[in-house]
Amino acid sequence: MLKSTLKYLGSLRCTIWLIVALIAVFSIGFFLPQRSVVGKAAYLKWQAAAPMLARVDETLQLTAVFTAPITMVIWGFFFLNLLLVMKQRIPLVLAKVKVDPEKMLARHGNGPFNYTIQLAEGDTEETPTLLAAQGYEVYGGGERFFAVKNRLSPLATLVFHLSFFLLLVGALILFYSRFTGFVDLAEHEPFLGELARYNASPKLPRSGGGPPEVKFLLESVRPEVSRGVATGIKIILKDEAGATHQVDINEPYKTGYASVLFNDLGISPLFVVQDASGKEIDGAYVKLDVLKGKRDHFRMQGYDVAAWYYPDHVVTDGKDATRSEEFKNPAFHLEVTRDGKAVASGTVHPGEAVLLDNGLRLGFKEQNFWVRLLVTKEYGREFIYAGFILALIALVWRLVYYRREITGVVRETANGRVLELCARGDFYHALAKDEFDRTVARLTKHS
Amino acid sequence: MAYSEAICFWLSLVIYAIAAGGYIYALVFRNEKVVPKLLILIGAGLLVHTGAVAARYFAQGHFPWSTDYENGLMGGWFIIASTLFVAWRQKSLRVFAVATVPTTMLIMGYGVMRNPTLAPMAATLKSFWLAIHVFFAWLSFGAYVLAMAAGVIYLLKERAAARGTASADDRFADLSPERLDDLMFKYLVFGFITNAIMIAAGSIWAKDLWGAYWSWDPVETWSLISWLMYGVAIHLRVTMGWRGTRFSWLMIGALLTVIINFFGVSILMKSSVHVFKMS
Ligand code: HEM
Repeated sequence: MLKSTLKYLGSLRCTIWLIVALIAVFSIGFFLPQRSVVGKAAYLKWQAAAPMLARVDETLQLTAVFTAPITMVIWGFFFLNLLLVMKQRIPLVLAKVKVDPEKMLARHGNGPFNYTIQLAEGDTEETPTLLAAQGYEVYGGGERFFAVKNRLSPLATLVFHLSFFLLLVGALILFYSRFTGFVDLAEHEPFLGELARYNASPKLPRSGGGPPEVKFLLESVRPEVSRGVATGIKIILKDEAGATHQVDINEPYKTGYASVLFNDLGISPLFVVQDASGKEIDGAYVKLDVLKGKRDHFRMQGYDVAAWYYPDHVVTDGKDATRSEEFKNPAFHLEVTRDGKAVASGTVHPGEAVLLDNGLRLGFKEQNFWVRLLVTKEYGREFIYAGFILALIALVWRLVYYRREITGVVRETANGRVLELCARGDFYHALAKDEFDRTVARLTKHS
Repeated sequence: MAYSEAICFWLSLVIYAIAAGGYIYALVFRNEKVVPKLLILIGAGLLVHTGAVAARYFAQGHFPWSTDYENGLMGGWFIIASTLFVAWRQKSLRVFAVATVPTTMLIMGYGVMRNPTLAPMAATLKSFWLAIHVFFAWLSFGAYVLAMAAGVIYLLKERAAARGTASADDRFADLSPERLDDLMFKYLVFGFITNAIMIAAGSIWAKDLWGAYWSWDPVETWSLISWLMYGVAIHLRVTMGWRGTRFSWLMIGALLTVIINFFGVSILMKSSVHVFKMS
């Protein structure tokens, strides 16, 4: 029983079923909304609404299928099958690339493509030379030879499939060493990499260890929006040594194994409260989440301020609006309350203020931005890159530079001496025949 | 869509439609003599099609590669270009257009029904790795469509032979079943390798954009599914000896997974993190 199971697990039929099984679970992940995509709140709501389905889901983990036990089991079998099959294949492939001309010549005449070339007197030595000129390695002499092109190509099967193990090792290292955390920083704000500065629950590496040592000052943020599309954002960071680094979408700041990526943008205006004489009695850069029409609020000097933002402000039909998403004419509409009672409201541009009670004024001094940065750190990329590169080289090597073999034997016939050629190629039939026809035509031209 | 682009786009579709009609005529009435003329027509269509791509490029200042319409426009361009390329290299492959031209019409027609409005290039799309990713996606798409076309011709030929009519045996006479069978595999291999490059480049891009090489985003998931699907096809052929009729159906069926990748992902998964949020 165990023996036959192991035998099946080491078979290529099992390989196909395992890949199909992977396709099946990935399809579930594609068609069934996954918890990671819909978010926890929506998932909990669904769980409460459909308790039966939720129980099925709890057992099978179909809405977190990529990390579900069933998927891990399939992956386990996949790599086990890969290991077993490769173990069987390694000696076969090594034997194939080592080349034993006598063994090859013993098969002479059994290949799919056979040719007979009439030889002129004394030109037997020419054929091996001509084949060598066409990229063949020739073993033996003109009377009896074995020629092979891309002899080592079968090795690529091993390289390609074993590169999956590199990807696996890389993926495991990435998974266990990964740190991710979001940090919100306004312009001119420093960040020293402290864990406490990260937004709620950064993900620490599963293998232990703390956050990466990234230290910088957020010098400036310049978003670029054109016709409502984010066309870029220039974020300048200054590191401890005073060197500046630019972060853009697609262009993180990388230091060692850590990366700092742009994730989100917000407005960080400087609001000040002035007394009747114009003296500033309070002021702060507040981080507001007000883009795309969202309302946010902040508190200052006991006032509650609700804020709406218009990046390209216009007044149409007496109402505040924005002409575009570009930051051309920023303005805030503010509604100020104290203890639930309305105090003041108004729309302000930089340098303007709304009048509060007691002769105080709430001024919008300047507009800065804040950004949410994603800080990540993980090891293992060398394995991922090595895996990718080896897999690609191996695919080309195996499937494009596939192996061709020709055996040649000279025989005496009633019509004189003839060279019998017997050829075979990996993978192809008609196309390989075309190529051998051309090769033989070139040989015949010379004979 | 800019005016000149709209003209070129619709004109190329009309030309392709006429060519497709011509191919249907050639097939139904067994008049393969018109095929070379149709190829000239398709060449003219590609020129006009190139005009549409160029007009869009100049109107936006970047290559069209982001929306469903642009995918249809460029995907179609690559399919027609590869059809002409193989036909130019080998005359007997001219008949592939029977399957590739209607496919092109479908994907262009579908694309234009979606969102042909001009847009500046979103910041997420300005990336060297993305350019590599998209370029290889097109190459692989073109190759998979050719594999499908070889499969279609194989099946047509086989059906004609099964009917046993006098003219049937020499249907597409200069393309033997063995040759078509090999060609399916050859295009499959090309598509598979370029598909692998596409996935690798895509994940390097994802690392710079989202901070992780792989996040099981629907777009990533489906591209892996379709690559694995073609991997299964290679295995079935190399290790289980699938050939001929079965393999032709496989090449036709597997293309569905790529088409889903091309368009379906944006329909099925609005929540895909591929849609950039800039709040
Ligand atoms: C358990 C996993 C796997 C095993 C045991 C396995 C085994 C094999 C073997 C033994 C061959 C050689 C057939 C021959 O030349 O006689 C082969 C070929 C091939 N396999 Fe796999 N395979 C696995 C997974 C995959 C996957 C996931 C892919 C990609 C999607 C893949 C792609 C290929 C390709 C492209 C070939 C043809 C080129 C070559 O011979 O290397 N394989 N496989």
